[in-house]
Amino acid sequence: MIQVLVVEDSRITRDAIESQIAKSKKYVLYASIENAANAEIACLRGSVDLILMDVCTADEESGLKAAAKIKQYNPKIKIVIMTSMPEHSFIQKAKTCGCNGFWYKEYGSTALMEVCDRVMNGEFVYPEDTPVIRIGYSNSAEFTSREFDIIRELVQGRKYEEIAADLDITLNTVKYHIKNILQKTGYQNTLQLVAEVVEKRLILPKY
Amino acid sequence: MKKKTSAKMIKKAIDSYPGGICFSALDGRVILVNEKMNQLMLELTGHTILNAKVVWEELANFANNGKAEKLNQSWLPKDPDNENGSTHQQLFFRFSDSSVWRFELRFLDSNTVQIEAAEITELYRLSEELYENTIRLQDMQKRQKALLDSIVEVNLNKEILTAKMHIHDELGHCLLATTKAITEDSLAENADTLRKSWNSTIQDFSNISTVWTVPDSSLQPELMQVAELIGCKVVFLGEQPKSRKALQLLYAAVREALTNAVRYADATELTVKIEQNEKSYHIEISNNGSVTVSKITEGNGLSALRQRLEQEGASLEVCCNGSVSLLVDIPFDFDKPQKGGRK
Repeated sequence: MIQVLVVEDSRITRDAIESQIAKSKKYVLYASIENAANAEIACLRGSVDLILMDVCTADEESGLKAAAKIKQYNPKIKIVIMTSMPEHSFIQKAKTCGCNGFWYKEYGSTALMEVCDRVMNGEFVYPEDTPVIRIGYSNSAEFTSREFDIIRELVQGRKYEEIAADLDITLNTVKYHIKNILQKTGYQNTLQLVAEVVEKRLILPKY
Repeated sequence: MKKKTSAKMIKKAIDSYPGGICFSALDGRVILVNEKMNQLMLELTGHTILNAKVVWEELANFANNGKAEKLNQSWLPKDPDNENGSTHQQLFFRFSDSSVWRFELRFLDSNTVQIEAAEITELYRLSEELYENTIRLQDMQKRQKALLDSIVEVNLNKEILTAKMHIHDELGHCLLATTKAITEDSLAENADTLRKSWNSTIQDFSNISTVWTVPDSSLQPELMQVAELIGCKVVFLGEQPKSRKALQLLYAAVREALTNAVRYADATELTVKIEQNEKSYHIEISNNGSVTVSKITEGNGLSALRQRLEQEGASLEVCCNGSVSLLVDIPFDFDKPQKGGRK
């Protein structure tokens, strides 16, 4: 049997996942926890084969950061990242951590257990793209990666000068990108943009 | 061709200046004043300038007279280089025709003082607009920060709603299928399929809590659960901090110590001793590991923990005395109980 560790802080989602594992003949629940920071400990002596890891877990602990640590010491453990956040960088971060799969709770048509089966068969299962989210007159697919960098900096409360220094570009380039972003979205200022981006959960800098 | 400038020409020139201007000696004796300045002073004080020093004092202590009002708003367009009025003084007035004027007193040299009046109605309107926008943006920024802080909670509620909708859909599907089978008199034929559907839905029901409760906000039970799972007992001695922030730091240190104790020293017990002095909690985390260590090299985990603790004003010391123990100091400043279980 495949031993599964579930890391999920939404009790109702956790119960739903546990229920699916209970129904399955291949998988058995090893443990179910709500804080990603405890996941590494749970893998120390146990025989965890698969982790279903939420990104935003209890006490604002990041499932992606926990996954990176676990993969460093236990590369054989398969990890499927789960999220309902359309945050545009999560897929890339999961790939960088070496996670084996990625599953959107609310988007896409693939069932979680199907993703688990494919991952356990050695596949890397990722959605083709991040869900497209409407931001003002524009949508998230229309932003360039540099524009995302700039928005991420704005969300973190950085000033234009700080953004220029962080991204190693000139102040004029920062202003140029911001002007373009505001033109695309139709917002009058960056604060409106940031409020919308955060509300739609397109960028979550803590994770 | 050289042309001589007469006193009359100078007077005519400054009279054509659209603002008000007055030059005087240090004691206030007027040297030169233009018509606009006298008009403005007439409106404000009821007389023209006789002594500039006296008139400036009158303006400084001006009481609204129906013809004009003195403006004192913090956002008035003052000279940013003259914040504390060290080089010159400024006063602002709105007249009955709604025009706004700025009066400025400057010491030109050791003998001459200049009072200048400039109409700033448009600048005043824009400054007022800028101030209102700044207040609005500050308010938006506050709301945005609050949103950022609660975004995970908001999302959690959304997930719950989605799960509830899923149950609702499944239940609705079963009811519809059953009703259809009864009306079409095909209950017997579809009995197996219906039973499976109902069983699955009921199982979902029994597994999923119908009433949502906020997750246990205590950090200890889950850590104890995973520690037990890997066969390492965690023993806490002493009173734990009360604030969420201090507890988060304490448990971050315990997690790191537990991970290292099990991974490198094969420990089966971790002791967390918490003491308090006047200013801080002093925490010592030791283990019963079998490995003897005289020196350790800090890896990513300990370095990240040290950075996190130091960012919050706490400190970390790694003690290698046969076995490895962590000494953590967390200041009491954190110990202000916070609202709600989740932050």
